[in-house]
Amino acid sequence: MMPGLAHRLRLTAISGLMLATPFSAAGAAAPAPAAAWPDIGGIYWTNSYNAKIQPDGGGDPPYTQAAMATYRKNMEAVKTFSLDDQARKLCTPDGVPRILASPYPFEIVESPNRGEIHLLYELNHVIRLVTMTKPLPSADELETFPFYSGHSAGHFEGDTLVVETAGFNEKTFLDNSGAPHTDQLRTVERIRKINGGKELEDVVTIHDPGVFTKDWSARFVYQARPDIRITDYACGEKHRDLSSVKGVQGH
Amino acid sequence: MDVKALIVGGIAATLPLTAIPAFAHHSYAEFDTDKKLTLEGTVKEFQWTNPHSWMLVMVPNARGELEQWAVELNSVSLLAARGWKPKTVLPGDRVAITFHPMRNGSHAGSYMAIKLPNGKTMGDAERLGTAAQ
Repeated sequence: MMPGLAHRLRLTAISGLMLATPFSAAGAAAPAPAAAWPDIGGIYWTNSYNAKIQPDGGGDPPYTQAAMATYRKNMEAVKTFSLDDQARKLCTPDGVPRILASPYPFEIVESPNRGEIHLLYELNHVIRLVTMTKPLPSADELETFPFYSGHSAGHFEGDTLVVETAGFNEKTFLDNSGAPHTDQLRTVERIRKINGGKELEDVVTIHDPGVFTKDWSARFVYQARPDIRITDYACGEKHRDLSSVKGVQGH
Repeated sequence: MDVKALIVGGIAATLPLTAIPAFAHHSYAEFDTDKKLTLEGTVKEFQWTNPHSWMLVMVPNARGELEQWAVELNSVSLLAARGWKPKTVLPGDRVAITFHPMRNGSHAGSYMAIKLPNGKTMGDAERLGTAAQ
C-alpha cells in the first residue's frame, strides 16, 4: 500500500531534521565487533525521583500551544486520579523516557554474541531489547507495529552506548505528570558510566514534531548497585523499600 | 489509591482491559457467516491489537439512541498485509461497517468491510458463507 500523504510528509520532515540532529537515517551504524563492547552492564538505581521530567535548562518541555493545553489538562487529571494512564491502571510499559525516571532499579545485560543489549526494569518488569547489529525497522514497519517501549537499535561511540528508539504507540506519557506525545516520537539515549563507574548517566534527546517546537534533552543519573538484584514485581503488591530515593512520596 | 501508589506505580489493575464483549475467546460459529449487516455510525475506539483487532462503533437505534456495536477484525499482521495501519480508523470517524452478525442477536459481529470517511472501502462486503479473511 502506498503511504498516505500525511505519512509521506512526516517522513520528509523527519528526514530533513535528521541532518541536524543525533537521529540516524535508519539506525544504520555499523555494529562494533562483539569483543570490543565496553562493559556497561550491571544493576543501577537512582537516588532521586521527579514526577515531572526535567528538561536540560529548566522549564517545561517545548510544547506547541495546543499540546501545552493538553499537558495542562493532563496535569489536572493526575491530581484527581482521572488521567487515562494505562501504565498505572493496567500495568502496561511506561515507554521512553518515562521509564528512565522510575524509582525502581534496572539492569543492563550485554549479549555481544547475540548482538543484543537488554534493559530490564524492575517496574512492571519492562524489557527493552536493543539490537546492536541491525538498523531500526523501516518507517512503514515502525508505523504498523508500534510498541509501548518502541523499537530500539544501538551502537557504541567510545564507551557510550547510543540507543535510538522509534515506533512508539500513543498509549504512554513522557513522565508521571501526564506529558503527552504522539507516534512521531523518536528518542536518542547516550548512556555511559561516569564518576569512575560508580554512576551511570542517560542523556535522552526527544524528537516529536507532533507536539514539540524543537528537540530537547533530559539527563538521568543512577548509582551502580552490584549489592542488589532485580526482584519480582507484581503490579498492585507491596514492593521494594524506596525510602532511599529522594522525591518519592509516602515514605 | 494513595499518592505514593500513583506516583511510583504500584497500584493494582483497577479497570477492565478493554470494552470488548465477553466472548473474546470464542468459536467462530457464533457469527452467522451467511448473513451480513451494514451499519453507519461513529467510531468510538479502534483497538489495533492481537490476537484480534476490535472496533467499537456507536450506532443510533430506531429511537435515535446511540448503541455500541463491537466488531471483531483480524490480527494486526493480517490487517497490515491488507493495507491497514493503526490510524486507518480514528475515534470520531463516520464509517459504514459491514460484518457477519452474531447468531444470538447481540451487538457484535465479524468484520467484512468498511467504508472510511474519505470514501475508500476496505475489505470485501460480498464474501458470504466463509470466515472473514
